[in-house]
Amino acid sequence: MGGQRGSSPSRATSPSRSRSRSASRRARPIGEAHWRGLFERLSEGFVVGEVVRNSAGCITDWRYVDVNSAWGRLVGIVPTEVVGRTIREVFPGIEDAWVDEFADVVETGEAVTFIRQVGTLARWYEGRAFPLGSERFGVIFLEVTERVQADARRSGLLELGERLRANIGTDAIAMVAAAILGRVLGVGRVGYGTIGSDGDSLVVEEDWTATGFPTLAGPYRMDDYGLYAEDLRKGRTVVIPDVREDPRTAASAATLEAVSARTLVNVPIVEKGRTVAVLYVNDDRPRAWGEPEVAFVRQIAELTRQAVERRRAEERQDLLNHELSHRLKNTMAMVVSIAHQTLRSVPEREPVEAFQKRIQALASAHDLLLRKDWTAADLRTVCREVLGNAVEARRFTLDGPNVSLGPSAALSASLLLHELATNAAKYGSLSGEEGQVELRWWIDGATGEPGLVLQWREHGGPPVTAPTRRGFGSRLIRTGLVGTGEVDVTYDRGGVIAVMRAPMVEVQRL
Amino acid sequence: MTARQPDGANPKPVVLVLQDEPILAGIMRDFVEEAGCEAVVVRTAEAAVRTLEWRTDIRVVFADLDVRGSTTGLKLIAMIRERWPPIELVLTGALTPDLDAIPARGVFCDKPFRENKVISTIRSFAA
Repeated sequence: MGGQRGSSPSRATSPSRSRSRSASRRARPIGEAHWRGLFERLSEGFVVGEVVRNSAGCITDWRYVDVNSAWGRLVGIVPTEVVGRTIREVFPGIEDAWVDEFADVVETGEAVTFIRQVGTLARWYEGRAFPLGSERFGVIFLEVTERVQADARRSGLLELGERLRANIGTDAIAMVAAAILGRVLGVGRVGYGTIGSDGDSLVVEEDWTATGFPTLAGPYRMDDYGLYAEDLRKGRTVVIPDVREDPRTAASAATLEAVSARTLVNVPIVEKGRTVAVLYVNDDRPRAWGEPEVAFVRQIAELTRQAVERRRAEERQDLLNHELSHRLKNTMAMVVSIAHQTLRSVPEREPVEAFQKRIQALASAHDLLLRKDWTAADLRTVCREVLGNAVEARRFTLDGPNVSLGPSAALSASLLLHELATNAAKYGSLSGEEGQVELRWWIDGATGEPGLVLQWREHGGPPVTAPTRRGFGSRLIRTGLVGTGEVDVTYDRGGVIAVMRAPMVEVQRL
Repeated sequence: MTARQPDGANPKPVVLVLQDEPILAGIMRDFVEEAGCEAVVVRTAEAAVRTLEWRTDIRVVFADLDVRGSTTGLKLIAMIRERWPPIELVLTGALTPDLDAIPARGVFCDKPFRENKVISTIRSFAA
């Protein structure tokens, strides 16, 4: 039974590692060598630890009893330097979870798995800790830093894509990108600076900083900070792991360190061959930048540049639309007023007024289209607007699904409904006190291609008869919703019924 | 500026017209005169403020919110409400503005103008 002594918990009381090893070898020479060999050949790191308790019996630390050579590679410390020391001695300031979780394994006797970072090493580990009886536990683990960071970069890109879909301004776009970069890379500061036309002055409005890290907001001269300014002007990405070591910054290292930039990645934003801005990533300690990390910074910079450009184009478009609308409305106002003045002496007022009202109907359709950047107008709103200008709300009813009209259909529908309303007011159901107009529409898919059907029905008015003369108004009506006709007007004894049809593709054409 | 001095006897109510489009300015002036008032036409919001500071007899401001310049039409309107609360406002523009942004007693007349509505609004304010 003596042969099992070596693996029993009391082994911790062995005076020294070498003695315990030789004692085991004597008792079970083949077994020990075999296990030791396996232990050393593992590519996973392996640790045997023993908890340390304070005077109250609480576990506050743990001691390295044994580690294999893979541990040394994965952590970056020579194995013989740690055996006998505690984890808090080896890694001052290490996260408490590295003690508490293994303490739980010892207290509960249950194994746990973990993925966790040692912040001071900036490395991630995934592994399993299991009880070895008494006060000891074993940990087998792998380093997963690259995998964790690659995952973080991937979700960073996804998050940026998602956030950019929201309609946010150009400044907000830059800040969102900076925050994602800062968090994913775990650095102190990320931001954008705009470069003046002299290629030297740089202005930072605002940047993202980790808690406690100073901002770079303010004006700068790029050439004060090192020779790398020239690289940026030429559109080259600058990666400097340590400003003291790089020949471009060694002379200006103190200036850079004064703004907490011990390491930096700068990506130039080039527009029309000129570097107009710089995306900067800074931290206050040296860092070996991996290729995937630099690629990630460039990807974020490019996505942000595209988003900002898109947003600027939209803003220009909005401005242009508003300006155009302003001009168009002014022109219509002039046309109406000039007509009014010119035709002042014409004794017959009716055609003059009809003209003015038609222009008004066009102008109101124009307004509706402009609300959606001249791409679409809601059919119900078009109906309400045109009829609302002509008659009291209680005299008409609207009924139909939501249908959006393209610009041409919206203009035609406005004019057409205006003519129908004018006729109704003169001769039809709206000419009396009580008559009504019922306007219904629906999508008809029976004939294959879906089409819009718009039905105007008057009732409660005086008996109507078909007009004998065809004026401009009835020509407008016969043109239909999309200029192809397909309008049936019946002068029923109960009132006028007009049915207009048009294929949906035409109705919604831009 | 053809307007008479404020101390001169001026039987007609004075309306300040703000419009940078010359033809429209002429049309708006016609409306004002049709309403039995005298028109003072300015082309910028800045000029409108200077005129209001100088002339104390202006009763109504008839302004296009889209005039170009450093001060937007809506800002001018807010300023008028603050500095000259008794002045009445008749407004126009390319787009019907957010009505909450228009201070109390402001009437918006859409373009193209409905002549009768504009004239009767000016007349009732100037009365």
